[in-house]
Amino acid sequence: MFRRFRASFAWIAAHYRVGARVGIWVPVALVLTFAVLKQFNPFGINAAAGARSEEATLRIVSPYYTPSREVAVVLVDDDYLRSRNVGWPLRFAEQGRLLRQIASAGPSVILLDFVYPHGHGDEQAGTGPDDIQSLLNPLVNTEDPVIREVPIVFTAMAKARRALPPDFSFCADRLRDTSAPLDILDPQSLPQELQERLRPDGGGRFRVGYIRWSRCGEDYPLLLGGDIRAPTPVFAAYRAFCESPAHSARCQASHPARDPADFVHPLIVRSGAFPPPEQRFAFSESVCQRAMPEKREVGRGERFMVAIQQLTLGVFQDLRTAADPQLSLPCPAVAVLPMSRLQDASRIEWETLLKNKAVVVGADLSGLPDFVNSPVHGQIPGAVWHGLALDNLVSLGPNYLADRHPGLKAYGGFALLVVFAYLFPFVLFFIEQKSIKTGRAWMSFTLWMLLALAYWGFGDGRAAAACIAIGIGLDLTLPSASVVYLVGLATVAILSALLLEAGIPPGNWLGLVLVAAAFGTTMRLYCRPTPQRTFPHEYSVLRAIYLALAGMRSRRTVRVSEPPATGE
Amino acid sequence: MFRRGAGPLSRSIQFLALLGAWPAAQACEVGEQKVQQVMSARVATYDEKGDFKEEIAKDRIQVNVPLVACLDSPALVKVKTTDGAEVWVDRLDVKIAGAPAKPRQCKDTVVSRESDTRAPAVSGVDPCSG
Repeated sequence: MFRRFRASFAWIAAHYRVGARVGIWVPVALVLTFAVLKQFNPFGINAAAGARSEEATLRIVSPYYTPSREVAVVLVDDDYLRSRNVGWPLRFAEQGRLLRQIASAGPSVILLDFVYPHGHGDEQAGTGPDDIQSLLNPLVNTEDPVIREVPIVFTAMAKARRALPPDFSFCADRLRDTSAPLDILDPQSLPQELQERLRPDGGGRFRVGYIRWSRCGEDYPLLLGGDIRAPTPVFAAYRAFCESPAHSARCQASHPARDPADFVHPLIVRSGAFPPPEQRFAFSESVCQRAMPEKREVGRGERFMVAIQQLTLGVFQDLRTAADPQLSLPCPAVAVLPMSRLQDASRIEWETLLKNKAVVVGADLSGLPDFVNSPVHGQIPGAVWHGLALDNLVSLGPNYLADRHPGLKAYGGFALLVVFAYLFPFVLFFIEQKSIKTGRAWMSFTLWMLLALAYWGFGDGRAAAACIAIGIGLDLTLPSASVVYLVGLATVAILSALLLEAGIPPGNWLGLVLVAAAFGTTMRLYCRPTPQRTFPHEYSVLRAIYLALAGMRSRRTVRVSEPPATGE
Repeated sequence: MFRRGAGPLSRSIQFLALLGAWPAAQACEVGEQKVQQVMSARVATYDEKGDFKEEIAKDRIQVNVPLVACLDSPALVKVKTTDGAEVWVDRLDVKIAGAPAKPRQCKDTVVSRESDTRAPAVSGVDPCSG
């Protein structure tokens, strides 16, 4: 057996050497090295490159996300507190009045992104304790059919991981057996009066969604531990949304209550580049990027241009910090309605903005650490993050973006390593030919100049100058290298974006490009001897232009010095 | 209004004090405002602190009569009921005629912030984590 394997390996090695012009042990050693590096993840570089790849891809494909326009986020903001001359937290009675106002506009569901782990009011200061009943009174003591029909999802904290069963993982890949007991609620985080109003089946008018999960990275889990008794706020709100008469038809294919297995994988929150037109109610167009049109979808051409803009300009800078809102895309793809603006609106405006919508109520206040890093918009209030996740579910249903095949991600990297190792010597042999190298040098220089032109066209003179400097520097030292990296980077980014559009989450493509670069550099040393290099490099475009100009000048000089014809 | 014989300095101080108090005094001036229409079928009534009291039917509120009073915080207006009582209701529940039109003020800052620091992914407002 061993002898036969050895013979087969020797045969493969011999054929490989003939074709690839390098021994098979070089790629084998490289594969082993990178496999070990991937496994050990030194300084978290693999995870960091993976996260960065995901962020970059989500940004590039953001123009292709179409928001549902069925989600609105109402934020209690600093201006509201100032104008009302009140502090934070708002009194329960004030919260109840706000909730009643929102409910009377007829939304499909209200998700309340406030948790109540502590008593309100100050008994010792004489203001008396604030009772949660003050919040519930305007909502329960009503005969208004509109208000009575609106389900409200409260937010509570899950118990810390150490207090849960040892096999419990917040971000699970499969449904948990519901016959096993699960005591996930941190009782301190939800007042007793609210706990008593919850139904065991998760339905009814008052519902709960659990937060404080961990080890999920940037993903948004829908069912903590894969247990249908532990929905997160967005899943509980989505279920209520699907049960509302206005939207039950759109959830027919896959209903969150009937088909929870379709929603067990944690959601990768996709952000959109175009905010809904409702955004104009609160934010002027000078502070937000262009909104989507009122009555039609964003055109294909515009989506493509924005995606290309994000791809090319995002190579060298974090566009979230750009001054131009068309580049930084600061406004999310859900309608964000600050209370300071909403309080002066008429009843008709409230209904236009909120009727039949899923409404997330949260806070955006100075000093509250409730911010989440978003790949497209920078840091956004937690309530807006809930809103984006909910919009993903409403817009994409069970086809939301998720890592449904974790094995593919884990072993796909190794498979790609083997493919790299096998193919690279052949690729290197092709691209290292002299005629190809000259063409590569011209393409590299041209690409850098085009990139500079693109930056200049988008008004970023500094980045344009940097591109010219890099282009000249590389042209004089490594003239033919950059086209491979630039085209490779663009290709994998576009491939990753196309896969994401097909519902497959982006892999670590930045890491892939880095590994390919390391492979190429190492392999080249074994494929051919390294000659002594001159400066500027013999393939340098600038050197070629200089020599051509010098040649023309010398020919002209020779022509001038020619003796006049004598006619003999 | 100004006392005869008061010096120019004290007159100026009085004038400035009155000028400073003017926005507060005007902030919730009832003036000629009237209840034009009741917008909800059932209207919640509150006490002047904003605590919920009870719910009344729409037709119990008198329309085309002047507002009795108003509050900015909480945002309530006092209206008359058909039985002559006065109750505080939410401003949103009644359409008021003669109210000063407020200019539409868009927010000039967006809700997102630059991602120069990474915030922990804590969702929900938890005062303990700050």
